[in-house]
Amino acid sequence: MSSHAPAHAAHGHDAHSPSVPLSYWWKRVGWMTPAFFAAGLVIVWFVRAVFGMDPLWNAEVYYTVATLLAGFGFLTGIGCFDWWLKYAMGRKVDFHDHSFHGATSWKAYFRVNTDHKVIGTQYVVLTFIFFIFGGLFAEAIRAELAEPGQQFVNGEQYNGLFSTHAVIMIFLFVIPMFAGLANYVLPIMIGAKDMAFPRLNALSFWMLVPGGVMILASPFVGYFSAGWTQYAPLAIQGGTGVTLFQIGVQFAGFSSIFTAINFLVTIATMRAPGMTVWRMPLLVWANATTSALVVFGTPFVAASQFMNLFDRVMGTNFFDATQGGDVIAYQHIFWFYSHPAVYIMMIPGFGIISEVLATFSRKPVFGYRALAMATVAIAVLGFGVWAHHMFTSGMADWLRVPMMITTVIIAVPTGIKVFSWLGTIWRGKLHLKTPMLYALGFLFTFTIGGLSGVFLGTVPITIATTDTYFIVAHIHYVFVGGSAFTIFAGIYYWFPKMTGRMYNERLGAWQFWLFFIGFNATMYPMHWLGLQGMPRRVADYDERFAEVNLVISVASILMVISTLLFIYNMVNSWIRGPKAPWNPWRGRSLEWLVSSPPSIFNFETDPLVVGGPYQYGIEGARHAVVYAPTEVGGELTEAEKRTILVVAHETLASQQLVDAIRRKAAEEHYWRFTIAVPAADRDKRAAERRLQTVLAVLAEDGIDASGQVYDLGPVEAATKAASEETIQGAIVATYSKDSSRWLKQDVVDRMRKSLRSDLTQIVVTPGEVVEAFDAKGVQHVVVIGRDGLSSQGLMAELERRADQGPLRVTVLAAAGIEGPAWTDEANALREDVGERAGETLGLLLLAGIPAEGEVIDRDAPAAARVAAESYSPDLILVASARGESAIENAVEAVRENAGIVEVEHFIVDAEAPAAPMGS
Amino acid sequence: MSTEAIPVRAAPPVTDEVPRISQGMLAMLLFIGSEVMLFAALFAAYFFARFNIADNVWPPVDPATGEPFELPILMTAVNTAFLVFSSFTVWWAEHRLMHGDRRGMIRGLWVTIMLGATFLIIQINEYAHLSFSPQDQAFGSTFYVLTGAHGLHVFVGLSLLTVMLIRAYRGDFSPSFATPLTAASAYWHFVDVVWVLLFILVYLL
Amino acid sequence: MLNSRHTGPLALLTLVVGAITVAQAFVIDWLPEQAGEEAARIDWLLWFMFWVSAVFFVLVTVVLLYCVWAFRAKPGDETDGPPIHGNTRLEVVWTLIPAFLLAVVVVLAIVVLEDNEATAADRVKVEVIGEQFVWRMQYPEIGVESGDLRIPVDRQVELTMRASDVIHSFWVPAMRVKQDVVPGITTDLVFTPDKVGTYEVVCAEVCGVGHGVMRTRAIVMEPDAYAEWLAAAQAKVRADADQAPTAPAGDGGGDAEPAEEG
Repeated sequence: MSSHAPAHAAHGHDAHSPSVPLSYWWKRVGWMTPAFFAAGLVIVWFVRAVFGMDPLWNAEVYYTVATLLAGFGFLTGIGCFDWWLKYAMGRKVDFHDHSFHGATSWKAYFRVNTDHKVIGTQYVVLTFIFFIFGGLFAEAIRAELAEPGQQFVNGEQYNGLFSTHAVIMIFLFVIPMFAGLANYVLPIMIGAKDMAFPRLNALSFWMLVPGGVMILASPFVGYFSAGWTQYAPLAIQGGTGVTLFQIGVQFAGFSSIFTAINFLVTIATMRAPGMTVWRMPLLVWANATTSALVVFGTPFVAASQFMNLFDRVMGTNFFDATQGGDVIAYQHIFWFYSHPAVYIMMIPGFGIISEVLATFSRKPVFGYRALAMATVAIAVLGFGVWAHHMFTSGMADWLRVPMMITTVIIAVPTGIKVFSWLGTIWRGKLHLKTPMLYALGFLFTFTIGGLSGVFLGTVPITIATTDTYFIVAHIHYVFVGGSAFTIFAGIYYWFPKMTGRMYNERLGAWQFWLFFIGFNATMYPMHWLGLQGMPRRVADYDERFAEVNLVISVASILMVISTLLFIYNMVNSWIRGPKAPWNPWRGRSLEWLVSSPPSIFNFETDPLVVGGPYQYGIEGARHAVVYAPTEVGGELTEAEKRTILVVAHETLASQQLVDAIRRKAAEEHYWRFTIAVPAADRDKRAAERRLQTVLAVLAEDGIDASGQVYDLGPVEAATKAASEETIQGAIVATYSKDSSRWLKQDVVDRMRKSLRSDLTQIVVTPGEVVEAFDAKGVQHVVVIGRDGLSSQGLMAELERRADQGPLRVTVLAAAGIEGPAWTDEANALREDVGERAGETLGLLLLAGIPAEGEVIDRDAPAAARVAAESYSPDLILVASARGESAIENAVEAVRENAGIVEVEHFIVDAEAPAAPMGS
Repeated sequence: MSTEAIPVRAAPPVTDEVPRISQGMLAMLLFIGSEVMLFAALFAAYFFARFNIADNVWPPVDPATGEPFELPILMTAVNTAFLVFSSFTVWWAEHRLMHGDRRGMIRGLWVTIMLGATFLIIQINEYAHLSFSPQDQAFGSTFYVLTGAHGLHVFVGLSLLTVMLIRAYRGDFSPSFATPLTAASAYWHFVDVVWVLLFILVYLL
Repeated sequence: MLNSRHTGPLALLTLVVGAITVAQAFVIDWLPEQAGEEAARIDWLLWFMFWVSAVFFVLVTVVLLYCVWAFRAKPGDETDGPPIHGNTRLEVVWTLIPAFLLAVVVVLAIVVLEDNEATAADRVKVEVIGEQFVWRMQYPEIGVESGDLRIPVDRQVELTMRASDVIHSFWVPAMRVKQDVVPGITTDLVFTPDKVGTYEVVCAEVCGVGHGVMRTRAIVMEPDAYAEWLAAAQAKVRADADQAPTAPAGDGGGDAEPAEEG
């Protein structure tokens, strides 16, 4: 069946590292970014001069265009567009250029990389850095709010603080962090080798850099201070900081749209065979849903910011009431995205929670289909509730009740999810590792946040509490208790997979509790503040709120400490944590059935999905068949080796074939070999002996092999073996064309047609076959004798021994030359003995026993010495013909010379045809 | 083949068919979906200004002249015809490719690009001769941003088609592989449909 | 369907968690002073929502705590839990019951909303202008402008509000009412104070640098005190107009000084 992964030329090839150093790209960034910025200035000047626009030096317009172009300059410099530009200009491009794929050093993370695992890691690290910045802004806010009155910042700066805090957390932390985690995990989870569009994936990541820089830089050029919501007309009063925010948010927005398109196409077209939508893990459902929300919702915020920008910079009148503009239209357009945005910020987290709860409860997800459909329902309904952010805005009165109804309806699928998660842990076997702690903590805090949301769904309560700290409490319960908890859960959960190391569990638990307690202590009192009359977005407040605000500010420090602990745990564990196994949590989804970290293309071959992803508790149930060594997961062997059929008979016990098998096994780890020996009309016992010898040799190399002798011809034997087990490849070993009977019978071609799988032919030279193997499983026997050699009795004895266990024989024929060794008699004797030894070797070979030999000039004891010194046998067998006194009397001497090697004396039967030579 | 060949492992049903749509085409359709939403937002702003605020007194009165603002309907109608025709020519180009007629495809692409460029140039010329600016009330703002965003998308579409033309000359496309061309022409059709809607809702109605 | 060994501990946990939940609701003074009829209705709705939410919160928390305690895997136990994929009846129940409760909530909310916004015939009409960063109350029939909102007790007041520059929001926490004021349109707010006193008016929509200090007072007075104040303010306006004939009457002629607190 066809794989949907992008096909690439060969398996297991390394990514070639690009030929340019890392500094090349950053030098390009270094000059292109300012160059594009300057180009922007020039273009604006030119257009304004040509069209006679007035004033020529309207700073905001210059800033807008220049920063937009500078962002593109950065992306061009770092190399995001290189390949596409080459394509566009008609140059020859390699669609499967993997030179920017994979990571072998830290440098890979600082340039354009097409590997979703690298990109995922880049996202997680960068967005976490943004999180730290967002948290610093939050602490600045709490520092100012610790006491009433103005302490550290003035009103404008304070407004900028909370605005920037929110934008960073929403657009630079939560949304892209989820994108990054899913980027890493999702392709592996569906059995794909990467995302559908790896280059677009890289672009999406790098777009966060200029976007983030702009947003973080905005405080330095005049904060944007109308809140992250930037309502017109207040936003129109703003300055350059607003421009940077609005352009920066466009980069972040397009980044997420491209990622969403990537996810949707990947999920739609690249799932492993057998993965129906009802066998997808819930994380995949969550990301598909979220991606749809992003694709269709984000353009609304883009449009709202563009119109806001134009009103401010170009003097348009979208939201200018004095010029026929509609002030509230901004809010409608903005919230039409921003409500689905909150689901974009939560639904991926829901997916993570489903995974974590199932794995750490060792139970299937309760109500999988209901959960999946509830997720979709929330997303669809989420497009119909935006005006609940506008109940007091002065919009059309009649819209409020319908929006209240749709808002309250969403509580139903959300409730289904929470109850289903509880159903998942009920009667499970809970392992309270850190990801699980966060998942359970999420259930608690998200419930509170969701319930306060139901409060807010009713118009009267919203009228009383909107734009107060009650809202701040609600927001943070659902975003921190919701999204952030799930992000932590996900990072801890997949940390071993992504880094190949285990984090410190105790530190993780401490970090969780600090964060949980600190978070609740910080945010719960805000409900009270809001009800009591403290508005939001104020630097100063009434005296009666002083104590509670102080408590909140102090409590927030717990979250700071917790975050520091987290950073320490992550960094320290990444550098020197214990190595992580493939499946530390014994999870069942596909990402746990690859190495930690995974190899460059994740899977060596397409996995085959055969069941649902949460089949805990069912003996023998499998989610997928993955080709991996059996040490993965212990009893959860979701693994199998691929089988190669080896067909050989006379050529079986040859070094060339064994080497070929060794090479294949070394290339990828997951081959096992099944050997079929077609021994039709031939000596089956010889075939059996050869087979046992080869198996012993392979066993010593740790290669999984088994085999059988068939009383069939080669093609028939191969076909029969292939029908007994599924094979993924075959090797057939023959002699060369001139000496091979098989080749004359077209065996190879017929076999190829019959097997319908990859067939490799190994050619063995006849000389190879006689070489002996040196392996522990193969007993090495040295046979010393003269007259007794090539006798039926000796052959029978050796065959008997070979039947008991693999054997190889070295024949040392003791010629027994006395006196000078160069005489003609000596030569003749030597030749004679040599012939007899040669016959013996030939017989042994026919019998399937590898053998070699030489003629020893002197007598048996001399041969014994040679054997002990040069051959290191396991056994010396002295074979004498009956009445061959020269050997018989020498047995003692042989034993002496043999040293530690065991010596046995075998008397060949009188029926031995060999004539005694000499005495 | 052995007579008693019993499969040792029953294979699960292959439930995953090769999708009928290619990855590139699916991606383009999703992208077009997001672009549709972008225009929906701009149209929403237009409708708010026109119906919510101005009560459909539209176009509103130009305070400078005391007369309502005017839109060049006739010229734009001609321009619309060019654009609609160009959708036909790009379809024809694809059609020719399917018949193996590479030169016909290239010709079709050229005509499409020429028509699109003509549309753009006429639009820019209209811009230069309009009696109002984007700063003239919500009317001017919504008009210029809607048509301007559309013009930008026409430019993007023309760029895509030009790339396709270059690639067509290189011989990249064949009856069995035309995905980039199909995707680019889908984008062009989208640009055309948006324009027709815009023309009807903004100019005519 | 629930194994009997669970019911005991569950009941105990429910009692404890329930007690804590209810206690924190009653021990903490959640709501500020309630000074209007609308406030009373909204507070009632808030408490109703609290009880409904408390049920679900206690349910979720109790199950969560119980699972952590009762179903924790014993150390070294690597076996799986039971392969329970779902329970259709249970899932239907936990879909329908919340749906029903939410329907009740919606109906109650609609009732409260209608009651709160029903206009009375004898309402006092005041115009409000929000601008960066002050509130200006105007009594057009008598040509008075005031920085405070002065209204009589037990009569509905209707505020017709405009904004001069950016969006603000007129919020009286004690009355539990709030309404944005938006440039270019007029928005309405009605409420009926039923307690004499001085209450905070807070701007609740970020409006710039001075958003945090844009506040004023709603002074609810006895009817006669109110009438007195009105008369005095009107007199002052006429006096100013007599002194400076060019100064237009009835159009923001300066703050009236409060003669006394009502």
